[in-house]
Order: sequence, then C-alpha cells, then structure tokens
Amino acid sequence: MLIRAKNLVKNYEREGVSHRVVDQVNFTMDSGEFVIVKGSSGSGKTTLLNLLTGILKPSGGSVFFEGDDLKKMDDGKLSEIRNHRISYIPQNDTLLSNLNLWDNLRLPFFLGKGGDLKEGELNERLKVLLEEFGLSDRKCSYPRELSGGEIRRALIIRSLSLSPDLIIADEPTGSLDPLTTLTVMEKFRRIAKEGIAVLAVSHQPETFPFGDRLYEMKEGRLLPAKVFTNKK
Amino acid sequence: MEKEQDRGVGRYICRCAWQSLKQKLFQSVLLGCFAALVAFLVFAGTLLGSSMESGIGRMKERLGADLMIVPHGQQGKTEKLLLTGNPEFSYLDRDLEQVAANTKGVKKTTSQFYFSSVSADCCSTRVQLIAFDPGTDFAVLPWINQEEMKKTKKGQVLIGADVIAQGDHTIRFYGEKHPVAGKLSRTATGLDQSVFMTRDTMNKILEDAKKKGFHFLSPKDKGKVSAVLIKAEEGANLDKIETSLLKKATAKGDKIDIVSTQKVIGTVSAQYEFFRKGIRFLQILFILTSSLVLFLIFSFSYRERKKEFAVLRIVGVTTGRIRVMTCTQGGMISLIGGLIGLLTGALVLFPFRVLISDSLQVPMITPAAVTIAFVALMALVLTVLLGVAAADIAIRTLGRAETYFTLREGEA
Repeated sequence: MLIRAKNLVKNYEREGVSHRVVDQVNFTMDSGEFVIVKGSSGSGKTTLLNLLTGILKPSGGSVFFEGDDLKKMDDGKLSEIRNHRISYIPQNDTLLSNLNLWDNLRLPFFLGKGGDLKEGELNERLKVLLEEFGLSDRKCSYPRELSGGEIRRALIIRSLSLSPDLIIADEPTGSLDPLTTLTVMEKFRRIAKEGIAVLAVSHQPETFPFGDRLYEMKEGRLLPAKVFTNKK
Repeated sequence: MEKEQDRGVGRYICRCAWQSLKQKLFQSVLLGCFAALVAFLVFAGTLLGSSMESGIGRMKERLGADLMIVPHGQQGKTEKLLLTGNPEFSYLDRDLEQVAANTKGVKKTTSQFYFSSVSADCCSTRVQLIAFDPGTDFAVLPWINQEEMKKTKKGQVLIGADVIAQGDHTIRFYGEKHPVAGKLSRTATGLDQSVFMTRDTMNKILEDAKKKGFHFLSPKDKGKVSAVLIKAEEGANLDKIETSLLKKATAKGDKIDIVSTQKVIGTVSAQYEFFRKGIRFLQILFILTSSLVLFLIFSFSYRERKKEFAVLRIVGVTTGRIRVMTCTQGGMISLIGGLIGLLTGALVLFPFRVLISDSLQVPMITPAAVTIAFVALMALVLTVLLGVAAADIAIRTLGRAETYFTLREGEA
C-alpha cells in the first residue's frame, strides 16, 4: 500500500466557530492506480489533497506513506517525500515569477533532495517532457509570458521531473482546452500504467473515465462513486 | 554534501537570490543604500578616529617644547600655526631666551624665527619658513635624520611632509632655488606644511626677500626672534615658570604671551574626544536604525514573496534551505552595499584628509595600509552580518504562516 488515510479529520475555525472540512476519511491507494475525486466547491477536496501531501496537519487521524505516519516525520523527511516521492500540482499557478520556465522546472532537483537523478538525466527528461507537452520553444520564457494553459502544462512537467511514486493533482486540466485536457489525461493514464500512482481532483466529467476509481467528496466525506475498468 | 556540490546547489541558490534582487530593483537599491551607510560610517568613522588619535599622539611627541614665549597678542596665532601651519609672523627680543634660561625649573631654551614665502612667481609655494638654531634646538633636530643634517649646507632646506619639492629637488623662495636636503616625517601638525632651515639660510632668504620688496624685519628688529621655546625640568611646575617669566618680561618692559603646548594639546584632545563620542554615537545610532530598516524592508519583501516560499515548500524545499536562500540574498545585497560604502568612505576620507583635519582643528595621521585593510574588512563583515541577520529574523517571523493558507490567499 502506497498511501493510506485513516480516520482523517480536518477542522477550521471561522469566526470563532469550528467547521469540519474533512470528516473521517478512510482511503488507500496502491502504486499504478489512477484515482479521480469529484465534488462541488467547498466540499473539502483541496483540503484532503493538502492533508495527503503533509502540507496541512490533520486535526484527527493520520496519513501513512509506505506505512510511515506523516504526522511523526520531521521537516527534512517530509520535505524529502514532497520533493521526489509525492509530487503535488496545486490548483493555482505555482511557478516562481523570477525564474524562467527551465529554471522553474529544475527547482525541485536543485533545492530539494532531488532523488538519485543526475543533472544530465534530469535535463534529458525535461527536454522530452517539454517536447511532449508542446513547450520546447518556451524554455526561456518567464511565467508572466506564458498562458494559463501553458502554466498548467509546465506544472505537470515539474511534477513528473523527479519520477515520483505518487502525483497528486488539483484540477490539473482546469484551464486547458479539450485537446490538451485529453493529452494530459492520457499522459496520467500512461504514467499510472508505468507504476506511478495518480490522484486527481476534477470537475470535468469527460476526464472521469481515464481513472481506475472515481470518488465524490460530499460535505467532507469521501464516497466511492464508480469503478472503471481501465487498469492494465 | 558531495552530491549537493555535484548538483551545484550553491550556485543555483545564488542565482535565485540574484534574480530576486534584480526583480525587486527598488527594494534592492534601498537595502543596498542602508548597507552602504552602515559600512561607510563604520569604516570612515573608525579610520577618522584612529587617524586623529595617531595625529594627537604624534603631536604630543613632536611639539617638544613645554612653553613658548611669543609676542603679545600672538598666542592664538601661534596655536593656529601649530595646528594648521598658517603663516603668521611677529617678533620679540632674543635676550628673552637668556631670561628664560635663567628661570627656575627651565631645563633648555632655544629660539625660532618664523616668516613665510609668498604666493607669487618668485616662490614655489606659500609656506611657513622656520629658522632654528642647531646649537640649542631640541624641537626640530630630534626629528631630522642626523646624516641629513650633517649634509645640510648653507642655502639648503628641510621640508615638512606635505611640502612638495620641484623635480630637481629644489624649492624656490624669492627668486632663488634652495636644494632640499631632506623631508621630515609626518607630524599631522602645521609643521608638515613648513620648511626648516638654519639661521644662515634664513638670513640669505631674508636678503632675497628684501630684494623682491618683502621686508620682514625693519632695521630696529634685526636680531629678533619669533618665539622662545622652553623645555622644563622633569616635574617642574609649568604655571610657576609661566608666572615667573611674565613677571621678568614685564620688569624688562617686554610684552609677551606664553603658549602652553600642553594646553594646546588639551584643547585638541578635548575636540577629538567630543568628535570621537559624536562619531561613536552616530555609528551606534545608524547601525541600530539601519538594522531595523533592513529588517523591515526584508519583512515587507518576504511578505510579498510568501507565495514563492509556499511554492518552495510544496516542491520539497526544507525551511532550513529557504532560510539559506533568504540569508544568501541578504548577504549578497549587504555585500554589494558594503563595498559601495567602503568605496565612498575611501573617496571622502583620503582625498579630503587635510581639509577634514583643518576644519576640525585636530591633527590626523592616516593609519598604515594594513590597518586600513583590517578596518575595511571588519566594516564589511559587520555589514554583511547585519544584512544576513536582518534577513534571517524576517524570514523566521514569516515562517510561522501555514503553506496551505498562503497558497489559497487570493483565490476566488
């Protein structure tokens, strides 16, 4: 089992009143699985993803990555996991405005632990990914010079750069045109087949069939919605 | 660690820091200016204080005489002469030297004659000319290389440290060239802008001056001197000697003033002390103010960059490494600012050394190159440390914000 959420709870305090945003979520994922989570705005999807990456600390319950409780890990260990084991693609633009695209893509390698990769291997991999996502000619562009769709694609490339075990993506196709949406989902499908687990939040029904399992987030609870027969 | 070196992490961090500085140019310039101000004040203030301290020390050693008998009304001018070398001249009877020698508590006496060159074609430069008596002198000779003195023939002169001889090692007074036998070491007093000679040479120059229409002595003043210098016996009461001399001179019908070199030094030392305290106060004030301003600018800048730090956390950068990045940035800008501050300090201090010394009325001797280098290094290290510390405190204060909330800020 790659990742497991056990009785996961998250409460927020708003105007002095406690709100439960994630409510007793139990969930597991194995390597090579592609899971999609749908749900209305404010249902707690993004909070759940942040709990699974260890960015947020749970109010109750635990998240286990390969059996280790994220809550008990120190900053170094947790950062190492986020650097090249769990790759997170947030909903909003998270490229650094002061670096060009090429340097943004190499950021996790240089500033994190970087895994076992060598710089040359990383560069080769990035070149292939840039080609695949149609961004080869944008290598030297700064984020302000990129369109919303190009930024989404760049974030996906960054998430794939260090060969993680799990990719967690929040609305990865949110601002993409139908054709690129298809390309991205096919790419996720393909990497899941290569053994990397993918967990994506999506609103777009046309993306659901790419997953192995579909969940729905409703008032903080994670409910199984559908099982597809994509695997293998 | 070895792996990180292979990956060029340090280089990447420096590049990120540099890019951030370039992107926020106004903030960077502001940070640099405050860093420059700290470096400037520490460097220039410390060197100025050190130069003055050395200058006063050398002045104490160099004045030689404990008391000087000068014509009445010349006390202030003589003090000025000692400090700035402004040419002033008036005369008194030479027999006062003998009167002084016979006074209780007086160990040695000698006389000096002051006159000056003029700013005209006939002279190389306008300087104070001091004639001394090699037979009795104790104020000039100890500072002259004895070998140089032996070589000094009639017509030759010795020049102060700030006097520049012509290319052929001569100096021209009243139309006549005088070979320069040697240059005295720096005293940081008016003596650096003076030219020294024996009485024979003086008489020759006075004759030349007369030919050019400059009459320093009227016929009745022949044989007079400008000052009688007195060296007191060890432990003698200078006030008593002064009172006794004034009585004797009055009885003789001479109107004199007595300059106490210790009092001159005391006044200068008091001026220096006031200046030193002022500089120290300014240094502390500006270091504290600049530290606070650096911290505030960094805090403001980092608040604007909260999202950037959240992104770094998401891609697995540890809080420790984010601190290294921000401190690198703080170090970089304070290093640049510090170097500018040092350069400005050097450009203000060295070319205007004499002007500063004259306007503050405190003698100054520029410290040795190694001391200057040490002070510069210390000022730079202090500035960089301040920059790094301000950046570090700012990022630690900000570090408490949760990544998740930072990322969601501004979302619809």
